[in-house]
Amino acid sequence: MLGAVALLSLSLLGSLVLMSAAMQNSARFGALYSVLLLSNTAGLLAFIGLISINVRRLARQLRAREPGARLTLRMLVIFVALAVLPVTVLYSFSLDFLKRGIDSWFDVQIGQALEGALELGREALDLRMRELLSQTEAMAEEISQGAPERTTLNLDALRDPDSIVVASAWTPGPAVLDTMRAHSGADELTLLSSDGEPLATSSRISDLIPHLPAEAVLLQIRQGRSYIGLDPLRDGTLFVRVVVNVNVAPGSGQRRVLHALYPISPRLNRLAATVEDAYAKYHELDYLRDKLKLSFAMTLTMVLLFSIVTAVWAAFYSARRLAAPIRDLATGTAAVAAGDYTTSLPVQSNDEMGFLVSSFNDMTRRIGRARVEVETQREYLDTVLRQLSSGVIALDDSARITTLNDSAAHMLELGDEARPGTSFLAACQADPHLLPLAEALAPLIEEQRRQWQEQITLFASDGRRVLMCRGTALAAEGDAARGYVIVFENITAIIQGQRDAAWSEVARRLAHEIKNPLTPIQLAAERLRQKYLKKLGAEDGEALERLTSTIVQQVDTMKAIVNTFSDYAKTPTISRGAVDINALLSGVIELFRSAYPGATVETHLAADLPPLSGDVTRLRQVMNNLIKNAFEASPEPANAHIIISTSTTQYAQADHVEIRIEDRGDGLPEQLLQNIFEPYVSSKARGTGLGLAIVKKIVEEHNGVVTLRNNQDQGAVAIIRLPLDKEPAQNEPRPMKDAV
Amino acid sequence: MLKRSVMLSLSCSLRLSLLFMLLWLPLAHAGTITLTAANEHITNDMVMIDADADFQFSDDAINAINSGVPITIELDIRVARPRKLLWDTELLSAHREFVIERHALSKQYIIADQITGDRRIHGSLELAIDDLGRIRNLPIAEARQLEGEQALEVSMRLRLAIRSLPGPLIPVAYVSPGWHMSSGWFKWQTQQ
Repeated sequence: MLGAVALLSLSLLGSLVLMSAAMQNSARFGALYSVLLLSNTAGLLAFIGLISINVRRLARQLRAREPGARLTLRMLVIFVALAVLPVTVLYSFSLDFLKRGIDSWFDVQIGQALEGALELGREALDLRMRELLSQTEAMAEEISQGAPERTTLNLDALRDPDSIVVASAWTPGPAVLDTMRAHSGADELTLLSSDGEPLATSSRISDLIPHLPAEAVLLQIRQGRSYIGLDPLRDGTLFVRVVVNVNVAPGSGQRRVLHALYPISPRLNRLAATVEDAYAKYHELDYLRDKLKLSFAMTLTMVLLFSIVTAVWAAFYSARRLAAPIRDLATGTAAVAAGDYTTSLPVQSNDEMGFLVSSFNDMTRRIGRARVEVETQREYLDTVLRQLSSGVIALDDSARITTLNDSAAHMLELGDEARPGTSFLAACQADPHLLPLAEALAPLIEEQRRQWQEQITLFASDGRRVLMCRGTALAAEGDAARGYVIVFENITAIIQGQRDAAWSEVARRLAHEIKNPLTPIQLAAERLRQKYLKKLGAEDGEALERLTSTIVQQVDTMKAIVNTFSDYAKTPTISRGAVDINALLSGVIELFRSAYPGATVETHLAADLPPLSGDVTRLRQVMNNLIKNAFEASPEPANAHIIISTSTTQYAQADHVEIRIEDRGDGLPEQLLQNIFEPYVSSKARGTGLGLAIVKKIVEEHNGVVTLRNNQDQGAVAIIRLPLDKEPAQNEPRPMKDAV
Repeated sequence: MLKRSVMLSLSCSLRLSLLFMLLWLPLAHAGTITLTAANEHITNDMVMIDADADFQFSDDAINAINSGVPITIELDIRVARPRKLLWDTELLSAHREFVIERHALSKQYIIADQITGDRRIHGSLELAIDDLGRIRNLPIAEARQLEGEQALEVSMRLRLAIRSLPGPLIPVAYVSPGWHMSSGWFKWQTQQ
């Protein structure tokens, strides 16, 4: 493009030089000026087209607010102003000087002098011409004195180059015209008929045919008026042409015409030619003055336009060149701002701009490397956070979530609305089960405490959940914290474990402390009855019998209770094997159907339920306890309606077998549901309160979960989830171990 | 916005140019050349042309002649053999130039044939113009060159040669209707 424009500029410049040269040479001017004018106009139009393209491009860039467009426009305006203003001033002055210069060629005095010279020449010639007229009229008179009535011109003689006198048959004699011409000093003397036909001629000029007068001259002659005129010939030589009437036959009305050409003396001819040339050229130039001015002005205007369009295009080119690195920098900065740190700009110069571009490239490289390091660190942190069983939430100074790991989301059962960028407290307040968390954390965050620790109990979908929350303020500027990192620990299992251990210890001690005296008490009661029953009368004996029986019976009862406690406290020894839950349930259900033939046991057992690894005896105890509880929860156990179903389900990211046992009883009181799986908690008037505690213990020994809750319409449902093939991974959040 | 302003300025310039042309054109009196009659004849085995033309020089042209500017009139002649299906066959073309100029010292107007060098001198411009329009015995070819049974078509045109004007006048003449004088092609069939 640059080469084409340079070529165009050179061509245009060359054309302008030629145009300028043509202006100084009239011969070239006529031949070249128009062509050059057209070619220059075409070149200028090409330039204007190029500039139009550039203007349109710049306008488009300005509309699109492309980087560097405004800078290009500003530089363009400056360049154009710097180039155009001086050129325009120069043009204005040059045009004025040009007009004045051309006008100075035409002086009034010179014009008058030329007019005077011309008039002087005419006067000088007029005098001579009048003499020649008189002389010719005298010759005509002489001819008319002895002219024949009629004669003809011998054309053969006219064509003879050796003959000067061609009118050999002329009545006055062949030598008459010659003599007359010689005496008069004429170059040519021709006698014509009144119709203009040459009758006889005598010539000193070598031309073959006599120089005949024009028709208009003959017309004048026919009107009886003589003609005298100054005739310029081809070579610029002046002749005096005299045409007069010759009355050859007085009274007959027959006329002849005498035509004479007289030469002007060479010196007079030369002087007249000089005056004529000067006058003609001056007047031609005078006539062309305005046109000359216009032509010069057009040439100058072409030069001006060429200068302007070249300057404007050069301004476009320079502005673009200068703005290009800045535009690249702006584009690069925008790319970096958008997160693209791979941007590398071309370094096109070794100046300050090149240094700036190099620095930018260095900066983006460094940022890119730092970003990779940050990404690596972030991925490392993400991995660590993902692997943590503790929930971690990072908040900014406006309590918006910045980081949230899976454990936290799972632990708090946060929905999709709680994502990075959203308000954590708002998410908590929107979820009823997280309200305690929001109420506990809000004041702590508002107070901007550096460190705090709170134990918070939530009621999640699968029961009570005790969380230990530890908050730490992020590095702060001044007093204001820039955010918090909150770590959640699910300590439900720990607390439950401590409670279970305490209960086991209580049970063990109770069994140990109570079981030991029971046998002596029982033996003592039996010995008392044996020793004193025979000695007492019937009435006293009957009383003794009743009392000792009561003691023995109650001791047995206490032994059974103590054994149950002993079982609860005992460390389990599980013998694992493949357990078909459906078969196990079917066996237990059959026992209860036998016991309660009037009851309805509805089963929905999954056909493709896979076997799981467990202790069949202890699991049977679990099923037995729960089904028994279901029957006993019904108002009329004999007519109870029990629904038992099995299925496979996903729980805590692992495959589980889910067993649901529902009754149609009155359900459980809400306050009892909180601790239903703890020892000595029972809804039944009679019972040890250890049944569900043992169920929970066995289920947990199988790494499972058991929950109990009321149905929405009627009764309660116990849900057991047992893992299928593997224990939950260590890094996965552990399911809640307690129950509602 | 920029594009609109450029378009507005271009439109404004165009309107001004058109207005200038509309105002200027009627002021410039257009000259005309009318070929009223033309025919050919054979004399001394030469095909010769006789033609009558009416020259109406514009004021610009008359002023130029009276100011000593020579004006050249071009005469173009084409002789073609017409064909029905194909284009005509051009047998010959001839070009002549006549210059009309004023001789200030003698106050005469000269009509000069640029080919033959013949000069005819007249005492007034009107006579010179009349003479210019009276073309007689203009030889164009030998008779044998145009022999044939079929009639030929002769085309003749007279026009003012702008390119022969003085250089500074040419650009003005190209855009001024006063200098555009042409008779157009006058055509006739030759006699057998």
